[in-house]
Amino acid sequence: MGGTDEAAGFGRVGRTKERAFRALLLASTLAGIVALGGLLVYVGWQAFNLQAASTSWFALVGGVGLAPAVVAAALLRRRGHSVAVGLESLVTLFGGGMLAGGAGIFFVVVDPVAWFATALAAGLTVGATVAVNRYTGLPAWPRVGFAAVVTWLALLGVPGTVPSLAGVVGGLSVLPSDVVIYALSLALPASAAVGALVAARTDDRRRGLRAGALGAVATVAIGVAVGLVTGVGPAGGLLVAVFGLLPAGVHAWATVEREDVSAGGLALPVVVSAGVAAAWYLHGALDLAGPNPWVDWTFLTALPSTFAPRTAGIFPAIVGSLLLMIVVVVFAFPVGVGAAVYLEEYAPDSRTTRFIQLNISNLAGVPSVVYGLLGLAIFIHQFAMPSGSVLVGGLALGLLILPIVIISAREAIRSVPDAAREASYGMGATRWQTVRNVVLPQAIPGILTGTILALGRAIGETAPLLMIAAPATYLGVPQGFTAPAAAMPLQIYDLAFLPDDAFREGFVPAGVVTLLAVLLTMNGVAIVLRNRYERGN
Amino acid sequence: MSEDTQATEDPDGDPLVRTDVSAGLDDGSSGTASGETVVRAEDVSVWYGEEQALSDVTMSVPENSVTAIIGPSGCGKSTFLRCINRMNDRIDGASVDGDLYLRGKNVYDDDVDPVALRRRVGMVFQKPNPFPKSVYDNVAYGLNIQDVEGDHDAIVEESLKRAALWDEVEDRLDESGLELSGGQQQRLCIARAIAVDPEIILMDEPASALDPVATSQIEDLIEELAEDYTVLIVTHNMQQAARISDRTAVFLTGGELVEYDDTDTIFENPAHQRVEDYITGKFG
Repeated sequence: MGGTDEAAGFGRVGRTKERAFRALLLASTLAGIVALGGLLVYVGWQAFNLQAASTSWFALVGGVGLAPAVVAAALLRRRGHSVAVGLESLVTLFGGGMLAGGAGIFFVVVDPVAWFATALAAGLTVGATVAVNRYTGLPAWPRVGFAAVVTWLALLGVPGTVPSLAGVVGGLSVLPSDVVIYALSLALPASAAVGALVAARTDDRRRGLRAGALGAVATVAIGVAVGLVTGVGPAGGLLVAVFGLLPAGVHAWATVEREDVSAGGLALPVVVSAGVAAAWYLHGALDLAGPNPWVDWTFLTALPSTFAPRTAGIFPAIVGSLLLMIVVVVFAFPVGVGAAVYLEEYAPDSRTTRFIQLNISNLAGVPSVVYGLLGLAIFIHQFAMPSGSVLVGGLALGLLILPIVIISAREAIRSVPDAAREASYGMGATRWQTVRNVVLPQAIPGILTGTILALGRAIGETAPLLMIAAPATYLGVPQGFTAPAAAMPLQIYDLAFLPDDAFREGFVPAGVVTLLAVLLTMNGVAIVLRNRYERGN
Repeated sequence: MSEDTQATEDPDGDPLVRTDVSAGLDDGSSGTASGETVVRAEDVSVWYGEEQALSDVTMSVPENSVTAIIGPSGCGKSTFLRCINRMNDRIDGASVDGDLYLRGKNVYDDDVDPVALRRRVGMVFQKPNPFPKSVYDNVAYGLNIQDVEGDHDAIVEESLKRAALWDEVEDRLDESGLELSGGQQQRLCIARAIAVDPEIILMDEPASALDPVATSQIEDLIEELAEDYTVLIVTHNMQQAARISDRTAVFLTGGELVEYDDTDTIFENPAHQRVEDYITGKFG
């Protein structure tokens, strides 16, 4: 430690390798982004047929439609508001709109009256069961028995002697209109849920009651108004209000109530909507040469065609995909979550368990065509289910994503801290009580996120549907769950091989954009869900 | 080497005999224990796989008092605590040998349901672990899962008062228990444990994750609780044991109970050189 050494400094450490490594990493990242981005831009360009658009149209879209949103986002960020909140509300609006579309499609296939009868029977059943649980001191098993009997009678009845409640309602001579049905079976429960949420958040029952009542009235009024103004009719408008606007309203309210984040970000969706509306109006007023998009109302609502690409639509395939997803959720969610709970909370850490777990991971990587073969062998050959039907396709796709659902649900369950379980077991809770009261409430956001992402995988699958002989092009709206139905990816695949180039260059990109829009919205909802619950509310 | 200093079966507890003793667990064999001994361990040994964590521990915990277990890390004091409510059952590969009586019933008998056992033994953990539920629901958790009859609101209020937390959370019963401070969370966990009126409260280093102020609040609380409850507390803080406990057990490396006596005796006049070395800090 002589005084002379100090002046020599510390020297330098060579970094040539590090710089080279960093450049390599950057290059591979850019390569991936450019490849994917280029593909998306190409598909979007084709689907919206943007080469037909004039330069002034682009200027209009850029200047009036997009620029305000970009400027608003930058301003918000500078002022310290959260842009993420704005993006969240955009996703909420978008997801809600898609859900409303899904509901509208659902009611194309399912008769609203049948739905109303079933919903009413189910509601009364739940009400009766809750009343019995709360006001009688019956032990567990009679209560379960009562619930089972009531459910059975309400939904199925005794054939020949006692008609089911659902049947009685469905057979009434005076039936409520679709608007009334949606208001009673959708708007009212949704508003009640909103009221309960508000009451729980603010710890103010009266406020919750007011919010619920206001929500119900506003939803119905706005819905009918929207329906009449836009021309989709009061019933359609009500669906938009229940699934699209009500969740957005709740999101806005919850954001305003939050203390950790300023609500300024809520201005973003307003600016975006205003920009789009203004661009739309100016586009019509100025009579600019706009694009001639393949993705338009006709494309979304018309039947497919093998000879008229310009008027061909994808509607039956959208319906088919929606019905498939319903079957997939109903099958894969309970089974997958059940398996995950068993493996994480009940199964001993034995060799057998580890073997099963390893193989579930392996199954997640099995090619999808194998699941199609499995579906063919089991459901069609073994159980003689109708080939090509929604039910069989949904079950095959459900099998396909089951390992993914199990794995993601297990991850979510495992992330619940063991201290919470210890606390519960220490209080003398059984496993079931611990799972229900402690583990599942904390794990459910993660489980939902994983399930939505898995559904995204299922909705884009083609091979299993080919194997179970689902029709590639189905010229009509599927009639139910046992009827054959096409799915979006299958439809796109099929029409890509027609001799007319217009199918390849317009119809197929349009279908891909539609599918991607659905997928990205689902993923967006999953991300919003995860972000919200990671913060702990 | 420790047998000579073992406590007599009836230490100087106050002579209150609880009247609500034991419905389910007692099966008539309680004649061996007097009403004043809540927990009695006889030659309890624990192995985690091949490794022995506790060797031949014999001790009794008197009623309505604070009994402390001190010792260096890894001496098996937490293991012993977790034997009493059979939380060690949750650990794969843990095996227990010997007899452990709660109110005269051997908790390791074949006919004992560990879940039923834990309903009569409260436990407070090292890190405060309230559920991500409201303060009210945290305290009412045991009442709900055990289907306790009666006025839950009143029981919750009474438990929070006993845990010296009521004044601070009276207006915040619907807030999440996780929004409380660390010390408040731990008192909430104590309120949760006493809400179901347990026979004994096991505390596993309940103050080790807390700041000095919160620690002293918890210590005051434990001393007050001992008027109505039996508390068995594990701590690595010798001053804490000296301050709050009536009797102290010293576990040393290898999982053996070296000395168990009145706290004053342990700290002022221990019978064993090893204990004296540990107390005075020559060995830790």
